[in-house]
Amino acid sequence: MTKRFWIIWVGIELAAVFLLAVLWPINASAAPKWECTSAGGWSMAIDGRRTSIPVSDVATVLELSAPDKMGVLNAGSDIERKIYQSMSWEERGGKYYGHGILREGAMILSVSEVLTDTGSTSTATILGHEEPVWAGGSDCVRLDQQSNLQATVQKPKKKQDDSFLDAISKRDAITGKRALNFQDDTKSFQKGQAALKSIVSGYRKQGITVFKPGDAEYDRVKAISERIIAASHYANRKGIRFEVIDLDDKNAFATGGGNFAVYNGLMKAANDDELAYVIAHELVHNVANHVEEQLPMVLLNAKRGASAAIAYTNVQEQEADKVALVYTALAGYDPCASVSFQSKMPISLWETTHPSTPRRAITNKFNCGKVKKYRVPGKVSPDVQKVLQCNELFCNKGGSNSTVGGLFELLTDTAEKQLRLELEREIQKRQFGGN
Amino acid sequence: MKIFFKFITISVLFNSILMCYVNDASAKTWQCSFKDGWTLNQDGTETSLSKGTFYGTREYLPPDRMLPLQTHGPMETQILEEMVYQPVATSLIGHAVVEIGSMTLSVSETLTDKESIITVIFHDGATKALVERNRCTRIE
Repeated sequence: MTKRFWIIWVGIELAAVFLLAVLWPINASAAPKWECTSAGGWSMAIDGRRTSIPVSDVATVLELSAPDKMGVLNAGSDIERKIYQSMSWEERGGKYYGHGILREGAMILSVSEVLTDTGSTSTATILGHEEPVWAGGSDCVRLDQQSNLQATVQKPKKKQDDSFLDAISKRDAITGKRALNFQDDTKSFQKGQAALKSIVSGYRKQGITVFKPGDAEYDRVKAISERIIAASHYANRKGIRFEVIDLDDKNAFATGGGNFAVYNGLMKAANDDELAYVIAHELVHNVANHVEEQLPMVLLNAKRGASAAIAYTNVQEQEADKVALVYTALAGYDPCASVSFQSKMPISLWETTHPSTPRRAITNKFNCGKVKKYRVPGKVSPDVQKVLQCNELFCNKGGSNSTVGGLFELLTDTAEKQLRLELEREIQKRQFGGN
Repeated sequence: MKIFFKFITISVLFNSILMCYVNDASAKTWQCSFKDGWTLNQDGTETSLSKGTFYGTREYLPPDRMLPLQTHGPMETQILEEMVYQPVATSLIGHAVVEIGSMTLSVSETLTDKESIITVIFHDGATKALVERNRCTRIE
């Protein structure tokens, strides 16, 4: 009996050891592993001056070492390795949050990082250093989830062949990042023109005047548009079409591909600087493919309801406002006219498809102060191309990670926007008891 | 029995005196106001943070906590309450991962007697991270 018990016990022990031996390598190889390359950022000197951190090809390879440490398989420098060794990590919602304090000679570093499977963001505060603050990001790939990929220690990233991506998704003219726009420019222009023609013909059938060249209203829009177009991403583009419609509405709209329309009611209310800002705003909707990027809005509407779709257009409007200020200044008009213009428009206190009027006015006031230095009064600035490449409000840096584009950023912004909208609705509901 | 009560009374008195002494020796209160700050945006650009004139006040509770006495609002209160601090040389360095609604923020602070540098990582959204510098003074 005793002998039998011992045989069974030894058998169980051996089985347990065997199972452990089999499972251990699986667990070991399942540790998350990332390869990250710097996507740039900035450092700040004591007096507040910021210096750009260059983009780097040197890969940092990290492997999570349970429970809360990160093993450094490759690092660009010894200090980077020491920083990671000092950090403790925790996982929340699929993201890894790391913090660490490192004393290096007279310097004391406090480092924070948020790491995901596609990128990381980090900040560092350094006491005793002439540049005491650093903030930057990295593009990352998860290595352990790719069966055909091994950790490429000190192997520079291969330049990606973008021909396939270029075929299905063109780069945003403003940010240089990818957009979910499946149409080429010719088709966009044709569709935009067809839409505009259809709208105009509808008005004509109703007996509403559509102004022609030689009419004062048309010529006013033409003169302003020529300068705005010359100061825009469409400077070298031909065939931009606009219509001026004799309606009292204070409105304007874009139909995509370089087509837009202005109502006479808005023209009567606006001076030339204000009208220039409106035309620039509509032109940005065209340049940024806001009309063409309808698919995400349809998806959002179906998946998350109308409020998500509303938030999506709200973000587009903010982008149009921001870029329009740069166009307006570069065309020689006063970008701060965008503030006075808001006071002439019907006031909206709520965030809907457009930002609320007070927020637009405040944001425009803040931003116009930054871009008015680009203005050469009365004429198009000679620095259009240079300023459009990089200015106080946006930068065309291309896409170092070409699978992530401006659209996805926009969608992320949309999620935040939606939360804000929901909060505001909740407040409204509580305050007024409405729906 | 009497001896036991005497012992308890003496112990309570002794500990009370000790606590008063410790608190007095390590109580540190700061008043801070915004100096400057910038964001790091997803597109690599930066934006200046708008200026304010508000003074926030907080008190260090050894060994690792900060008591918010006066803040800009509930969000700052929550962040300060969740921060875990560590004295390093002449500074206090704090870190926390804070969940506010659907957002999860990684927050750090380096606090000296003259300045506080706060960093917040959003990672997602239009703003990747922000850095804020505050002028601080110790209130005795």
